[in-house]
Amino acid sequence: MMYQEFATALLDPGSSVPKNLLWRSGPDLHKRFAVHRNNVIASLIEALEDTFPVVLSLVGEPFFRNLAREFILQHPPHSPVMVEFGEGFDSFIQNAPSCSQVPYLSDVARLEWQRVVSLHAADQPPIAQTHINDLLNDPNKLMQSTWKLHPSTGVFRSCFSAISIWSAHQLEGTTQIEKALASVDITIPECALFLRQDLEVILVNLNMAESAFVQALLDGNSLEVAVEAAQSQNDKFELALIFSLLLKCKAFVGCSPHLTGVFTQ
Amino acid sequence: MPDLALPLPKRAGIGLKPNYFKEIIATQPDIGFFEIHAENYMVAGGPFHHYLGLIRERYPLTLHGVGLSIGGAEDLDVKHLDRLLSLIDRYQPSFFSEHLAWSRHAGIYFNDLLPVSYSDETLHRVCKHIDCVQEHLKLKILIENPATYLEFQDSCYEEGDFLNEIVKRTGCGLLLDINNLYVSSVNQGRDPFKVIETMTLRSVCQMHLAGHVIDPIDSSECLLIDNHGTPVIDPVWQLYELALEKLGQIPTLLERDHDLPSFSDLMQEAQKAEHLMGAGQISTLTMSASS
Repeated sequence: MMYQEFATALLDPGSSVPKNLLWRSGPDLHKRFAVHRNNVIASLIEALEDTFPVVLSLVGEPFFRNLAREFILQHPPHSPVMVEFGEGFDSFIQNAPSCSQVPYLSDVARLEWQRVVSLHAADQPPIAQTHINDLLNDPNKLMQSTWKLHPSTGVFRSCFSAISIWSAHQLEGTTQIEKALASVDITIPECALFLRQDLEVILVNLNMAESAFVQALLDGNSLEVAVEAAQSQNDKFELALIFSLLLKCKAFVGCSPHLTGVFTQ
Repeated sequence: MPDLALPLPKRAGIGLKPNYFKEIIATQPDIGFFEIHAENYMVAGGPFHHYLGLIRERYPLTLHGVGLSIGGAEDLDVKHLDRLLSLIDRYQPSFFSEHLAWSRHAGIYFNDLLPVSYSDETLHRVCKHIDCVQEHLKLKILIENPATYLEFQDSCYEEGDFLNEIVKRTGCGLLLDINNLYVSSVNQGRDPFKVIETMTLRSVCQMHLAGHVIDPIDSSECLLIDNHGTPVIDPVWQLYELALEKLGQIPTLLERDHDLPSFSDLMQEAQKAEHLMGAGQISTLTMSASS
């Protein structure tokens, strides 16, 4: 059998059905082949709908399906692991002329993607309090230390109010969602820390300085460098607030007194 | 080639979906086993592994693959086989099953179970792939009969003969999907109750039951679509009864992947399967007593 011909015809509804097929009776070959064409596109659209429910809700099903179909044809999956399918959908939306009227859509898609990645990130226990007491008692040593964050941790930044828009869609019922959306000023930039807690991904709003601090830690910098990064955004940055938040969220899984040291788990 | 872990109880099982995690853990339903789609658990951590670990402590598990592309033209994806191996090591399922189908070509994964021609060339390649999987995973796998809508000009085996030949050459077992057998037979203009009579079923280790629909795109001519989104229909139950008569009790999974109903609805279908399995046992006993 000719796999290449079959594969090409699956993704091109305009092409004729593969030649090697046999018709005995009942529905013709075109209708039979259409089952597979439909299965491929419909199941992949469904996978994107599962990952991007708020994008779907924002643009409505017909628009989403067309957008998803275009994305699938341009970026078909390479892996059978469907939770890995959808990477790059935010950039695709950003470049899609049909989405230019909804400038925040791409950021909402990126937030939804990052949440899925965070949800399935590796498990790792938080650092034991006894391991960090020494560092916390020695301010000089503390500032030189580096901190490893939980694999589900990340920083999300948007030039729009993508977090408020997403949060509004977590409410129950259309009336509640519309009411919450009505109070959102989409032009206000937003930042958040996200990480998994009790098996769910949580979002905590951050200011720009705090987000620069967490991002610097994620990039492997020392506490001192992370504080400098934060202060370059806002000189009134308060280390204690964000640091205690991270401790409270059990975001730290390792720390090292030195920049290149071995992490204590 | 060894079987895996503990043998599966001769009972009904239910396809495990995240929507049911908490209810299963809270209520500990009386069910024979659960089955997962392996690809859904190929993630590093988080809630899926957390809940599956808890459920596996209490129930036997079967692993069902949808992405190996055993019927494909290309070599198997070794990375995918490695991911399967780590799932198998972690959860010790009673069986791992895959489809007589392909889903990947030239680097693209189609997310559908695509049909193969029943030719000597395909037979040779499918057997080579099954040998490779069994060697890599170090276990005997089960191969499932597909739901088909198409036939190929170069096919020279009946589906049952093709599957028997695979079993003979590779030593794998069969997963008999009763709904697929029904859907494929009707779609090819054959009587499923006659097709099953011609099949050699002694290698069947597990069965599947599921729902199907008449092609929603065009219902003028009857093309059945295997959608796993509706309850099992009566003729499929009847075909299942016939299979039980021929095979005796076989672990049977109720598959439901779309339009998920309440867990208790699925339990009712599972209980029906167990009732029929019990009835099968009685009639077998009666038959041997009277013979």
